[in-house]
Amino acid sequence: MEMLKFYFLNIVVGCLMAVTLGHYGIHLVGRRKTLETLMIGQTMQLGIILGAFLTSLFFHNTGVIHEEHIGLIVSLLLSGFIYFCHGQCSKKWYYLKTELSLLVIILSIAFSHVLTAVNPLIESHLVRSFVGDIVTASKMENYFILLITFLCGVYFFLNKKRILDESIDYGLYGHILNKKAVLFEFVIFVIMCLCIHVFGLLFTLGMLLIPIIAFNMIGNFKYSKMLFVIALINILSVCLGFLLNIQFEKLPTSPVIVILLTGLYGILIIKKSLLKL
Amino acid sequence: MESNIIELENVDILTSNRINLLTGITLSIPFGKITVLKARNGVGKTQLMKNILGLQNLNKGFIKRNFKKTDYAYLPQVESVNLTLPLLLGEMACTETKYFSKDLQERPWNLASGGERKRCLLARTFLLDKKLFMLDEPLNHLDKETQMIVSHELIQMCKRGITIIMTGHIDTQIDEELLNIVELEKWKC
Repeated sequence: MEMLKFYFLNIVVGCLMAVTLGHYGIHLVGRRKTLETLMIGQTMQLGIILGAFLTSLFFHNTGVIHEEHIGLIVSLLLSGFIYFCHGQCSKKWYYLKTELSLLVIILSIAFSHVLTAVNPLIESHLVRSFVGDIVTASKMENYFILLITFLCGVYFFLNKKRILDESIDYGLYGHILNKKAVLFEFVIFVIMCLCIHVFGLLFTLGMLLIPIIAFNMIGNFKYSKMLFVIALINILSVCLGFLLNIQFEKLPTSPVIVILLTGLYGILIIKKSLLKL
Repeated sequence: MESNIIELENVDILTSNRINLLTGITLSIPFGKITVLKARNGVGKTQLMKNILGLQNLNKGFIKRNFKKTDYAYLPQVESVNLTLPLLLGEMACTETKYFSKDLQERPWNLASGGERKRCLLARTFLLDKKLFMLDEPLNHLDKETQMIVSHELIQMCKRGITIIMTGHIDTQIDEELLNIVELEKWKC
């Protein structure tokens, strides 16, 4: 009980982040941006490592700037720049869009490992940016993430109909005509960046992609009902993941949450399949 | 005011793997008429439509568009729709019409037939308040009765001053003044 009280804020932040990511993820997959999401995630991870590398080079032991903050800024700028370049190249070589995304992913992994080989002290950042470090986030960080995630959630619910229409348009035309779609992409960038910093790439991609993959397998849910079920299952997996982590300290939180999330959606798919029989 | 909504000059149409389909197309599409682009399968009607709308980059030639990007609605072929959202037809169409009745609304897109999907897309497209409608094979997958209803709706839209550009055929008696047929075969490579 003591531990639960201690981690209460982390659990709340995790739940809110999981719900928001799940809802945004529907539209990333709906807009055929699954591979691009992975690409953005990888470039953000590279940004974190680059941030740590630059901090160790220029601000080592100065205490002027915290390396986490440099990492946050560098990952946002780097992934934004690469995403823009990828978009431009995809326009010119539209028949190579998937391959270009894969190329960026491969290069991001390669550069990450080169940087950690040059400076082995930053190797911990590579692991942390992948599996996250939920339980060690400070109170200040948690409040900041809570506020931004809440704002992103509010933006989603206020623009629910427009965002859905844009995703349908993407399915019909292959692109979106509405210029406001850029704002959606910006919000995704911000929330992904924050999530990777605290919860890691694994948690971020899991929450974004697993729910909608499961719902595509199930096939007949009303959109509003789908949003509700995603919220419910994502919250449940985060809470169960934290409880397991408290009980068994050696278990890594994010991977456990992702496995639980897949398991819960698996149960839903089996239940739906049995009902159809 | 311009009398043509679209003017093409010496336009080449290529496939995605850069094979030339149509070459040197020069034509004008007038305002307020039903323009039917006619050609056999695989000649490049869909590619031409996408080039006209700017959905694909133009390789050669010039297209003058006398409409804004927000002025048009586009109905793609059902087969080319790539929807990865598990939605119901009713959520897609957002409306109820003669050919898209209430019983179709609860049907999931993933499980719907080609005809049901087409009805849903037509209902969604015709709901839009636009000056130009680009319809790629709008009557495909539909039964005779629904084809007649949709053709009639197209004529009514045209009489209200809306420009329609479509591929395929229109299946009803139509005033010649409203119709403009373009044979694309003459520009075939």
